[in-house]
Amino acid sequence: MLELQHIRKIYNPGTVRELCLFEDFSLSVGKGEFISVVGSNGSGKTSLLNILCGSIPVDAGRLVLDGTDITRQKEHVRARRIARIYQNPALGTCAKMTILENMALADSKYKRMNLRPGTDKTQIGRYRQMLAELGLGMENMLQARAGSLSGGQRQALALTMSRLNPIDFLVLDEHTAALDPKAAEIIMRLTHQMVTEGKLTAIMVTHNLRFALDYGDRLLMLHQGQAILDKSGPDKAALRLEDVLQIFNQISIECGN
Amino acid sequence: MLSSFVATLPSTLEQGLIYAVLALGLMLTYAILDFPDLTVDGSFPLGGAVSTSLILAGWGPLPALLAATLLGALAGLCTGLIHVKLKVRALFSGIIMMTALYSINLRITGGLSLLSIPRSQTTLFRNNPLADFLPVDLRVLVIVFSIILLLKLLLDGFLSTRAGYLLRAAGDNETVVTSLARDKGNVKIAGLVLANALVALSGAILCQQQRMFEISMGTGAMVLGLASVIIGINLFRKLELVRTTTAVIIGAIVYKLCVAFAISCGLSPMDMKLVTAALFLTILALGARPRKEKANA
Repeated sequence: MLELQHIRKIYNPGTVRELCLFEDFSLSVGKGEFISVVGSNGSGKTSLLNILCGSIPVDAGRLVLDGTDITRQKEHVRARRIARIYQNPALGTCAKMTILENMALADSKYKRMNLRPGTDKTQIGRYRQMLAELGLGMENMLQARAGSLSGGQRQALALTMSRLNPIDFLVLDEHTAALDPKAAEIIMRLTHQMVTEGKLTAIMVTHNLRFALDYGDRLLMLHQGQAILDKSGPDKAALRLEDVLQIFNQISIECGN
Repeated sequence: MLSSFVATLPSTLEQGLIYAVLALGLMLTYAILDFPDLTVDGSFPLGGAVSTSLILAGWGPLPALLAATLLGALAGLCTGLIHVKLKVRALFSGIIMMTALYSINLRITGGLSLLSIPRSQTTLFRNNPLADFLPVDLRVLVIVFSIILLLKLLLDGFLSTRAGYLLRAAGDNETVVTSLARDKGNVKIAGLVLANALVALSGAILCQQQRMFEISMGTGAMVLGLASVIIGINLFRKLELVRTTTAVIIGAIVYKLCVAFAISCGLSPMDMKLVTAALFLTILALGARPRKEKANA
């Protein structure tokens, strides 16, 4: 489904702050796979997602999505097939627009942005239904501005907005990190439901090792731009928190943390 | 003092309504798109120069307004392209266009820094069936009020369309625009086109009403528009029911009233820009206070 082939990424090339993040990084993501990515700060997790989504360019290598080379494709073009949920809940919604307007806006992703009404009134019932499923009470506050919502609600809204459209690749960028434990649970359950129901391919970066083990069918640990652990299927299911923690501690010691 | 203020009230109101068109343009860039667009100081006189020159060349008032609007849109397009395609900072893109437009405006007027329209010429407010039908005292007021009302309704309508939603999203959160698979740069350009079209239209109407174009009429146009937007938004901050467009139009009128009041207090028209600046400062200083409380919102 998605191939990263021999990716090289160097930050600040030619300066004293030169940092070679990926030298020759390759990753193959199969259709319908749900990959959890863990790793310490600076291991390249978020850069990996940025490269995938086209937020930053690569210095060498190729990205192939379903046989199409997307290496030079712009971020917004890739967004036709890739949805991304950010760590910061504020990034997924428009604060000054109402919940209803946010939903309607997301719903017109594949439509022409012309002079038709921004909110299709016949769809309000459907939006309300989808919001009700979250159990966060948002279905009764359609006219509230997204900026007035809590972090958990905003993230749930962002997820629901991306659910409105058929996508095939979901990118989760530490999307529960800024939330309280309860909200994080709700968002994780919602994510799982979305991935299974939509048969999506997903890649999730997280600092929460338990989420990484509980969800997804493949686990990847990044360290200094390399995958030092890559388990899938039964091997992944057999992984225990202690095992992962141990490897984590080892790499941390190497780094002098 | 007060009597002179009252005596000038109708003309102040007319001015306020004409400048409200400019304020609506600034509302698009400043309040919605969050783009500090200095093009305004050039596109406002651009509208005036185009409309006045065309009227002197024998064009009808409406085609002249339309041409001015289109050229304003073109100026906005240039600013947008400079900012988005050449990746020049927003402030600089505007300054570049503003400076270039000064010379362009002089080119349009044939090198004259002052143009006046003779009384015999047809403008929006004189020598046409509509204007002749209206009572002399109310003529300008009725016409500019109708224009601003029409523009307000059009703009409100536009902002609730899909395209309008996208424009609002671009100012609110660019990331959302990208995730909707749209190029945020193009949305910004579209916003600048629309805003500068309104600004030029405002300049064109003003010149037809005053039957005069003056090259420096753009100086302070942005400050004036911004002040109107900020007054309007602050005045109606608590009232969700009042649409931003209405608030901004009222803001423009309030602003003109304040300036007129200052002049009637004995300040010379020479001090106009000083009053403009001082008033803007006052509004910003007063408006800053409640915003601090909302720092966490």
